Amino acid sequence: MKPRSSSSSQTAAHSQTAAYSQTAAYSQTAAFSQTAAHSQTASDPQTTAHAVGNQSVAQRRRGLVRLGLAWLAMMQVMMFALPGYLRPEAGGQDSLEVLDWAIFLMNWASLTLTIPVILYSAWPIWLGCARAWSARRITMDVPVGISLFAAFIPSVMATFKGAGEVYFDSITMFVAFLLTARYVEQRASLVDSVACTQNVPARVERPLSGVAPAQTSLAGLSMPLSTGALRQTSVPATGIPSGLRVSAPANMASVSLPLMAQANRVATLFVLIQLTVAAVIGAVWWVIAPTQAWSVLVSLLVMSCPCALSLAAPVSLAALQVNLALDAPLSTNQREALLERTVRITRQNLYGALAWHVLTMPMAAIGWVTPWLAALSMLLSSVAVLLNAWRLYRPRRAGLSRAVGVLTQNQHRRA
Amino acid sequence: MEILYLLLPLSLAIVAMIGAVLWWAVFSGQYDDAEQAGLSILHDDDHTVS
Repeated sequence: MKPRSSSSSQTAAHSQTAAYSQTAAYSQTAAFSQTAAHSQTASDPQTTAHAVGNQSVAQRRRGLVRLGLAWLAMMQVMMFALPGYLRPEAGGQDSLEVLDWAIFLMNWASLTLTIPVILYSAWPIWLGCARAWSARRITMDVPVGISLFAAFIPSVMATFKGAGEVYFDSITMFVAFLLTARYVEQRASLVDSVACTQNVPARVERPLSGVAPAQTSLAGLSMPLSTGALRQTSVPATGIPSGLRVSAPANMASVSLPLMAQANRVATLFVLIQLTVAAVIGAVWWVIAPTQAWSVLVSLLVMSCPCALSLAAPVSLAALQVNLALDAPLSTNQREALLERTVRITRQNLYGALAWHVLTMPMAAIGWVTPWLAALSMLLSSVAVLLNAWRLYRPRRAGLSRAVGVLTQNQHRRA
Repeated sequence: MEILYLLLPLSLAIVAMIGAVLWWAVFSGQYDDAEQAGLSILHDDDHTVS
């Protein structure tokens, strides 16, 4: 790198700080600002890229705080809920009195902790509900909002009255698990959207043989576990390890768009059916056993959250992107096989999550599944989807260590 | 059991404290990049050492 002029080293320094300040998953903007700096365009797109970067960093931080607070409140509220769990087994009249007094106090403490969860952590859900309402559309936020509402209001009333069931533990658990699944989904779909919609000018001056420059723009895409290091090497064109260059499949969009559309259709249909079923079963319970009707309704509504469904497509597509970005250029056959695998795993995720819901719904309908158990089942199905998508990504993980190895060599050469 | 009157507010205060610390930690950027520190050994600037 001897012939670099001072201006280009300044560029490198700039992009290095960009790489430091940006987070891995938000590399879209980092890549963009690098490209802008590299192609020496006017400073205008650069500043917009910075603005976008700052905004998304702030968004991510807020998401993280919401998530962390929900988990914190969840753990504490579960401890406060213990006397409530013990009450059915309480012995004599005496101990029941003490227990009820404890439950009364604990409920107030739980309410204090649940209010910030409802107001702050669950804020994106309320926003989503408002959006869905104004667009007259059913989205995933609608059943979530309804179930939170259906669980929170009776709990508050029970707390004030000092008698009756409270669901604060289920509420905080639900919000914490849901936000966790969402957080993962957002990070995954961000990586995905970078790849699908990237129209950043190609950053590679010397196109690889047989690969059009427009298609090599994926090389700048970094991955969830990407490191500033990988990005940094791609600043000077000569520094790009050839292993990092990727030929994006020309039919990337043709794979991802139908899959996303399919996932959305399935999820919307699913939410509609779930809401109807929950309403009907809740009404039946109301007639047969009014005391349990509310608990059944809440767990059905919690179960109707299609988190795993909405996670299905983004995570496997993100895994595909990582594969394409990390590994050495794939042959046509390999690429075809990879795309096929992606489609297969996405479908597995989608219909597996659906099957899980269909299996657990009757159990909730009979009243076997308590609300907190429903929240847990929701989390488990999301984790299963994640692990399944990870299968797609694991075999090629070796690519990263190779890339880091190339990077270290480059650094030595530069020095 | 009157100790609950002390312990419950205390636990709430501790939770609030932990939440505040988390808030500060996230918004001061500590969680922005969990990988950079581990990789920093690869990026040390060799230019200045002639």
